[in-house]
Amino acid sequence: MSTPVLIVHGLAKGFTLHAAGKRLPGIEGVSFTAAAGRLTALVGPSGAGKSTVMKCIWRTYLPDAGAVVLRHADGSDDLATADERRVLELRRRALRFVTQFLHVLPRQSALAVVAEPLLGLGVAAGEARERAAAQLRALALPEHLWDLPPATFSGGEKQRVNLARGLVVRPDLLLLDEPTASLDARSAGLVEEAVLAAKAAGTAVLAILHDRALVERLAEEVVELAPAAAAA
Amino acid sequence: MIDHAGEPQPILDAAGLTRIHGRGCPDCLALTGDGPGTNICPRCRSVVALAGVSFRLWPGEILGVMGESGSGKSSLARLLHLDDRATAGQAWWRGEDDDGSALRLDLAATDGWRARWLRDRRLGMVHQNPHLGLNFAVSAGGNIAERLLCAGEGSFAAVRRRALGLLARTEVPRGRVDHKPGQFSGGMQQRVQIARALAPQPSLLLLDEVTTGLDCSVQARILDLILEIQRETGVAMVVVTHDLGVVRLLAGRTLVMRHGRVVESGLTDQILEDPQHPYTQQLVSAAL
Ligand SMILES: Nc1ncnc2c1ncn2[C@@H]1O[C@H](COP(=O)(O)OP(=O)(O)O)[C@@H](O)[C@H]1O
Ligand SMILES: [Mg+2]
Ligand SMILES: [Zn+2]
Repeated sequence: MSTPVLIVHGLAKGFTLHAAGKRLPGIEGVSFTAAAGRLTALVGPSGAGKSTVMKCIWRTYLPDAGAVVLRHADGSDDLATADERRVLELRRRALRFVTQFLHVLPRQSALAVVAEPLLGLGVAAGEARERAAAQLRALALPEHLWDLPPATFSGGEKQRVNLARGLVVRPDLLLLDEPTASLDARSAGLVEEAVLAAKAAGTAVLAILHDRALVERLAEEVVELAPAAAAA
Repeated sequence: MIDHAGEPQPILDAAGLTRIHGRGCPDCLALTGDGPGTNICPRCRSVVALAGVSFRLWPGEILGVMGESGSGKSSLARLLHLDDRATAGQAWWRGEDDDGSALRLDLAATDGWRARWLRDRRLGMVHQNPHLGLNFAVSAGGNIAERLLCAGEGSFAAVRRRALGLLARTEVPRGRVDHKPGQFSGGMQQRVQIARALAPQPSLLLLDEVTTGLDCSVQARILDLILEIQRETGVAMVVVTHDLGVVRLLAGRTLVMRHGRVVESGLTDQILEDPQHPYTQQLVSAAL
């Protein structure tokens, strides 16, 4: 068993809505790990807090308590408390989040969209394009699409560009939010293959998965979340 | 900008920036702000435009400054551009002198020729109102040329070439280079302003509500242009706006201002999805 890339310990997050004078419960006492080269599936009923856990790791949400330790090439950081600049740096280098929504510059070609994170890390333009091309090829995105902006692509094509952009930096940890939701069978199959390839390359993958069959096929570990008790 | 030990240094380090309009009294700060809910001192009627604003800006970063009208955003931009003087506080800028040697200047305490030098060669400002950022008496090309000349570019041919290049980059059609700003649409005026601000290759670009009042589709294209330029040049930016959509698209981190104070700061996605301060929550939910 390899050492964990991600250690989530005692993670808690609720939401205080000042105007309504309300406190929404969120998650409490969530602990699990995710290891290199393995997929850890986050499962549980709607409202159990799967997305909340993801967003705490990505730090879109500020955790109330607990630790989110990410171990990466340069050491380790607690994402629950790391300063913002450090979080931005880790998002570029070690931690990638692939959601269903690709948010990019409208005029950028698919190849440029995928190469961009590498440029941000100081990789030379030529090498960045080569690595981006290799990543798109691995995800079977037809070559005639590479020079077009992804805005016009099908859902499956967009999702593969999205994944390629996440994978191209060879992150230590990849976060996936329902990576095959609303894709046709062929696209879903290609995305699955890409996830397997990412694992084979040593990336720890943490994924919200709804489909039990998908969990069976892809996941080494399953983290079951139950809804936190409603606040009094 | 790597100092000793290879640690990158902030290009701007602001601490306690305060600007009070009026004669001021010992209670101005205590009697204004989030608690009292005003920026006007009830004792002396002075306006506290900024109070104790502190932040850092890192090389290549886009920092958002978000708040409603009157919250102090433009006051901050004006201080950083040396168009106004702080009542208190510092804003340390780090960069290079003309000979390439490291230079550190307090933007809140620099005046005279050094202030002009900063504005001409190291800082760029794009205003909401194009009349503040452009010379309406000369052509688009002339506007860029003026600034290049101020920055020390001597050869006429080089000025012309650079001006055309900058206007091409901001997508001002070649055929319109000799037209005056008054003949342009609002969006095109902002493109000329951006080209003018970028002319001396500043290390810090300040943008104050640059897309406010423009049509949605024009706004979107200008925001894309700003992002593209930032990625190409690596220029650090402070983006002042009342519009959550603008910080969402441009800024990695955002400060939320109210009554001249920073009430909350954080990663932009965190500010928008998990705002902590009651005021930020209200701003975000009003925008939904
Ligand atoms: N020259 C000035 N004299 C007096 N009050 C001013 C002056 N400039 C700005 N203010 C006041 O300072 C506050 C902040 O204004 P400003 O920085 O323009 O806010 P914003 O750009 O966020 O709309 C406002 O109350 C404004 O009326
Ligand atoms: Mg203003
Ligand atoms: Zn007073």
